[in-house]
Amino acid sequence: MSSDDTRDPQNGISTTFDSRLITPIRFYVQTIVFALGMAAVAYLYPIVLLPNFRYMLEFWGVRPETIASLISLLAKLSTPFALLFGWGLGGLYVCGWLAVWLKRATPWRVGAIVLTAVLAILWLVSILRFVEGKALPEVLAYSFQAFGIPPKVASTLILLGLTVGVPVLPLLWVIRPLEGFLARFLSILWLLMWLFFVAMGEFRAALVLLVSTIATGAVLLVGLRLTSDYLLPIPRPDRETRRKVLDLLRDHIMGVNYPAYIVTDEPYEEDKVEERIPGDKLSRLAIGPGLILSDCDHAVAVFDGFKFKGVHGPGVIFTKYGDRILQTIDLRPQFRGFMVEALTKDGIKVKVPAAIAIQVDPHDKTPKLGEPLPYSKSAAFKALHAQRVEHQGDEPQKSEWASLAREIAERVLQDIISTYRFDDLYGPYQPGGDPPRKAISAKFSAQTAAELEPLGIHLIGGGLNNIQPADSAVYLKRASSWQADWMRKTMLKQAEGQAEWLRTVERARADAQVDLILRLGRQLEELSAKGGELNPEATLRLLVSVLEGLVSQQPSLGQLLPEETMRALVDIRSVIHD
Amino acid sequence: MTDMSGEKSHRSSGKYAGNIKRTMRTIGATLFAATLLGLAAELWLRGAEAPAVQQPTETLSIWPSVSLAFAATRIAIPVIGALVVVPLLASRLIHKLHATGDLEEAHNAINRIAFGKLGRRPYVMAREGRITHGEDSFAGRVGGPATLIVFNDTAVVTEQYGRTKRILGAGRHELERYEKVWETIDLRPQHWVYAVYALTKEGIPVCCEADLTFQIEDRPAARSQDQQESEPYPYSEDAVFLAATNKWIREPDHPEPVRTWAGRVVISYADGMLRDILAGYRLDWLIAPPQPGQQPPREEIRQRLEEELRRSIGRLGARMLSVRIGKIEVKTQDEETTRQLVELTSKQWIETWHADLEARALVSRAEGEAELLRMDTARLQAQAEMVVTLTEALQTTIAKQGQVQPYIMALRFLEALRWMTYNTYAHEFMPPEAMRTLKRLQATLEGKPLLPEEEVA
Repeated sequence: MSSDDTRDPQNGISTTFDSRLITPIRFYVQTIVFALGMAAVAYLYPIVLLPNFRYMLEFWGVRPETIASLISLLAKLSTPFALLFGWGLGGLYVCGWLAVWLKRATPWRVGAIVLTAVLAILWLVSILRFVEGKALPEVLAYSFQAFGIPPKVASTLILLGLTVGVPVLPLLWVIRPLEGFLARFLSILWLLMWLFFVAMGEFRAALVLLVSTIATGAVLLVGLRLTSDYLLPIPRPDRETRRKVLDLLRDHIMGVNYPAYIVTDEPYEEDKVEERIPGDKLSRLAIGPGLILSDCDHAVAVFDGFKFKGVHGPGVIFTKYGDRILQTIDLRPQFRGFMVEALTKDGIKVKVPAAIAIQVDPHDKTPKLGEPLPYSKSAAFKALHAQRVEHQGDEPQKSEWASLAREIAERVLQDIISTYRFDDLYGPYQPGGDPPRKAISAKFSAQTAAELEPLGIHLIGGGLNNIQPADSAVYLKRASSWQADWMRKTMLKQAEGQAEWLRTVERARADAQVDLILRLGRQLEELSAKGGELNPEATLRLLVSVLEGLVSQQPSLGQLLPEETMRALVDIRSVIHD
Repeated sequence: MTDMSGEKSHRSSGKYAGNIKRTMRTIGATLFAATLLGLAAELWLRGAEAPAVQQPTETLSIWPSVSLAFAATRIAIPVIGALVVVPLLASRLIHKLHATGDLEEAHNAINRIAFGKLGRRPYVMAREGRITHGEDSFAGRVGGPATLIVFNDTAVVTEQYGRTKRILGAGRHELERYEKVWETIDLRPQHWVYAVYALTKEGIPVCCEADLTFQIEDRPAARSQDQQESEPYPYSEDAVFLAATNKWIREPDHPEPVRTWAGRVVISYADGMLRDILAGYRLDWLIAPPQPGQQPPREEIRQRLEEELRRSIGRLGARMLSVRIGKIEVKTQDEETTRQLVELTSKQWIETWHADLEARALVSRAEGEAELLRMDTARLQAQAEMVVTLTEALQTTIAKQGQVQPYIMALRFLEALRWMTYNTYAHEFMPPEAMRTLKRLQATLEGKPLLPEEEVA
């Protein structure tokens, strides 16, 4: 069990896997060896058993003729068995030969060369067995002699040329840039030699060489053509695309190709493009295209140094002579946060952290499954075209479209803030509703979107953080103002307390007065009820008697009254009664 | 979507069948044809010696067949060579183009792409919202064929041929040719605590922690208990796709190079919304204790935030589970300013509290004094004041007139009494009955009978 063995307790998916990746070469070597072994054993059993146990079989009643027929059948099976065995053996050759060539270490590379040489010699030896050693026809022999070549040497040269041609000619037809005149010339030469060979009467060898050459060439060319369908991530390549991929492969074999780039998801533009297959953009020998590969979230702008060739992708992009990547375009929303410093209408400096989310204008298209992230090629062109060179610092720097949008947004926000007074930015006395920042933010988004739209940039959204005074002392001043307001409220609260105290005391005082008045009223009613006369004298006496009553009924009241009052009360009483 | 029934395809026979079939149809068939031609040539060469192959019945052996097989394959060596050269050249290109570790890896990859996968490997595993295995492998970088294992806490969006391809949930899936994982989405509930710096209505900086829990929008359809157990984190494909395509790319040098859907819920939505809400309140309202009958300010703010978030984050494919907010305090991102602000506001807050306390104490004192008044002493004091005032009024009248005129004296007495009631507080607390009595006294004195309507007036 490998270290990757896990089992998720919730869904029960077993993630137990073979500890090593099964490589196709290893798999097929094992399979072929196993199959050959089984076939050999299956064939070996009757071969060994039948002749050696024939007497026993005869003893058991099997007729000798039947046994002879079986043995004869087995002898005839040797050819199909040889075919099957040869087939398996061929598979092992392919696996072994390929395996050593796939290793890059020097000993393996040497081993690969040695193995190839050994196989070449084996093949040569097997071909020579077909040569009957016949002489050149007289006409040809004389012709060669005319060039000083002895007929024996000439026939050897022809044989050598023909055998070398078997692997070389198909390769020549594939390899760039040799496949042109040279391949045609050598092919004609080989054909001539083959005709000489036929003329020599070496029919068997000639036929084997011809079939070998044709078969090798066909396998090589058809094989490469079929393989090229799978080399690049292209869904269903048409004829033209297949040809391009094959030509790219052929250019790559001899290193005359245009470069091939991969667009990666690195953060910096300069790291986004990797030249994976180096090549010459101005290669005169390349017939195939160059290549750019990008994922569904990146497009590329291509130009050839003179002419803008458009924005392409995502996916596989074939390039032509001189083409290079001008710039990659990330099709995902780009988010840019920045701090804007601005002056208010009344000249107070504020800082506003702002942010925008933008993308190359998709013209109202939304992402959908089965499609790349949407964008408009014309919008992408506009966005790239609007980019400018910034001269800040020592080196002028190219400002990318996303940075350009940021710069525009900065300016828009500065303009908006300059129309507000400092206090209006917060609206402390605004009765309800949204805070001014929200209105500023909406204005900011609308104006920025309007400015970016002609540049092919779509504003997904924009927003502002707190509008902060550049000097943090403003916060303290605001807090002080808040404090003053609260001091006023505190004083009011204290005054309210005092007022409440006064009210309570006065209420008690009023109670006492009410008591006196009501007492007067009651006595007046009592007097009236008794039928007494209610003239001013009687009323005065009543009033004075009530006062006296108050004093006499409550001795403690008398203690509180000044002596003059007591005396005055006595005087008044005596005056009234007199 | 969920390929739980994919076990069938993972039986040992099925694991290799596709590759074997395609290999036999192409390389196998070519090799068979080449061997057949080689065998034919060899048999032709042996010509008359054919009986050598036709073995004598008495000496049957395997070796003539093996020798014939070797001879046939020797003749087919150029074709075998071509079968080696083709994948070798393709592997070279793939090796360079996709920066594989070596040619062998490139050959394995091109073999998989052309003929299909052998066995279960390679595999890419996604769990906890990320790729946990195989991200840097060929299958992870370039694509399948490969096995993709997705755990039930994750959903995956794949891409192929430069286009988004499909959305895959929990289970074992087969990635097609050049299909790879484009985005992974964590389906587990996401919990973020985030400090929001805002300004109050009067522009004083405050800080408040937003405590948010949310997750990818799940399927609208009701689910059975079994489904809930087998799929604890349900999702809707639309929501996953929305979340995947709503990733924002930041400036290259930014410490947070990408802002995922979860980050956007918190930073782009909750942060802005809470800031807007707080900007509508005054500081004292935010930090004061709630008034009787009023909702606590934090709860009101929380409710508003939750409502707005629930309405908005569906655009990112997310669903809000809970919203809480922490203490609202006076704070800026600058420590020194914060210290000064805190000092200032808390001092004032204490003074306000003290003033409130003082006012309550005064009221209590007043109530205490009133109690005293009702306890005779104070009442006596008031009565004494009245006796003094009224006596002085009578005495002054006698002194002015030089003689006793009862009518004028009684009138003066009542007038003095009436004046006492004109005191603001006394007048306020004087019951109508007392006022009527006073009027009746005066009328009696003047010898007028008092009509009921006049009493009322």
